[in-house]
Amino acid sequence: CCVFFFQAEDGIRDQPRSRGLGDVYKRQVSTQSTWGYINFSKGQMGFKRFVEAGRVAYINFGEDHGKICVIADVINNNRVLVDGPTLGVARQVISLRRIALTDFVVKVPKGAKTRTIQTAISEFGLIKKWGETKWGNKVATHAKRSKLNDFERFQ
Amino acid sequence: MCIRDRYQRRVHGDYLVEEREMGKEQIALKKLHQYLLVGRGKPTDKDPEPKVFRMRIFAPNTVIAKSRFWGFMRKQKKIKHSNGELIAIHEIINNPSRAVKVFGMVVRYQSRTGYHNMYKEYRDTTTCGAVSQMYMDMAGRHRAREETIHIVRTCMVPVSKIKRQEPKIFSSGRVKFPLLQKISRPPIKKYKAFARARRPTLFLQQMQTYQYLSLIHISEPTRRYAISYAVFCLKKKKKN
Repeated sequence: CCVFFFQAEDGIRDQPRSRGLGDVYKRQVSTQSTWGYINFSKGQMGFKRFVEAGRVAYINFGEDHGKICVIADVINNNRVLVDGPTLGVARQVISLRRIALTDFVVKVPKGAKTRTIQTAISEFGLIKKWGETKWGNKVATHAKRSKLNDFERFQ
Repeated sequence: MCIRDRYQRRVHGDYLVEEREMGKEQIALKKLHQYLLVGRGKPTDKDPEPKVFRMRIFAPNTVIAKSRFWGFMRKQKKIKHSNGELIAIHEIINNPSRAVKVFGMVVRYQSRTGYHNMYKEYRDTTTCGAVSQMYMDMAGRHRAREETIHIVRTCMVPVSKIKRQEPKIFSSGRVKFPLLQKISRPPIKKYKAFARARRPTLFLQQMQTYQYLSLIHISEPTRRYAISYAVFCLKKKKKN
């Protein structure tokens, strides 16, 4: 009687034909930068706050924590170039892990210079608008509270 | 080995390298500097005017830069540190953070089985930042340590000439994406509590994303094949 070499669920022995190196790189493209292929403009996915040039971000970690800044340019998936003239934030590269996005977007071109951002911030009235939000209020109150002395706390 | 103790001092071996104020955070990427080194062999009777060579080296400090320079001189020009002289070493300082550019670099690295050339592109504000990214990238993707990597050439690439997917996507057009992960942590290391009364929250979602997800999206997130909308109409058998 004949003995069958391949058994029913013998996956490792049944080798598929080589698909060549091209196949591997095709897969790499789709996993590398998926954000480039998704269109968020239609609002279909329910996201409202985006990392984009002009987005106002709140820095919640590091030296500049507690301050808001404007995203000038997106470097890659993890880092952005931010600037906060009149907001107390120097133009710098910051990790996206250190910021939280706010609802505000200031109209600036991608890679805008500090002067452009400064004009846009003052025209938008960002400092005032931020102070009127719940979030902005909380941040300001917290900052104020931390500086009170015993007598002021009693009051 | 770098040991960071409670007072935020970085101690390298026995030597105190840096002392930072409490609350000041370190930069995540390795801080590289770009140096221009000029050197030549020592003049001898046979060769009173030796040829002068110039090289750009990326290194964290001048000591390592010089060491690398003589390493390359030895391998390529047969001039050793003992029979050569370093004429000048300058740091090439770039003004950072004005604009984001794309840097292309040709790299030669040693893998476990041989030497390979690579062309890589990175988006960054400075050349040194891009080179730091390259070292991290090579370590992550190819397990290539810094010692095995030679930077052949670096240059700034105009947007139209970018070859690699990721820098291309982020350079051209409007880039826009949401931040999915909400990280909750104390703003500076000083406020980090040693002991907490509550269990940690492992992940925080941005609450707004739940609103518009349909039932199909929530219920079948791991389904590999396309969801079929076929409706099977089952007719009851007629009883005769």
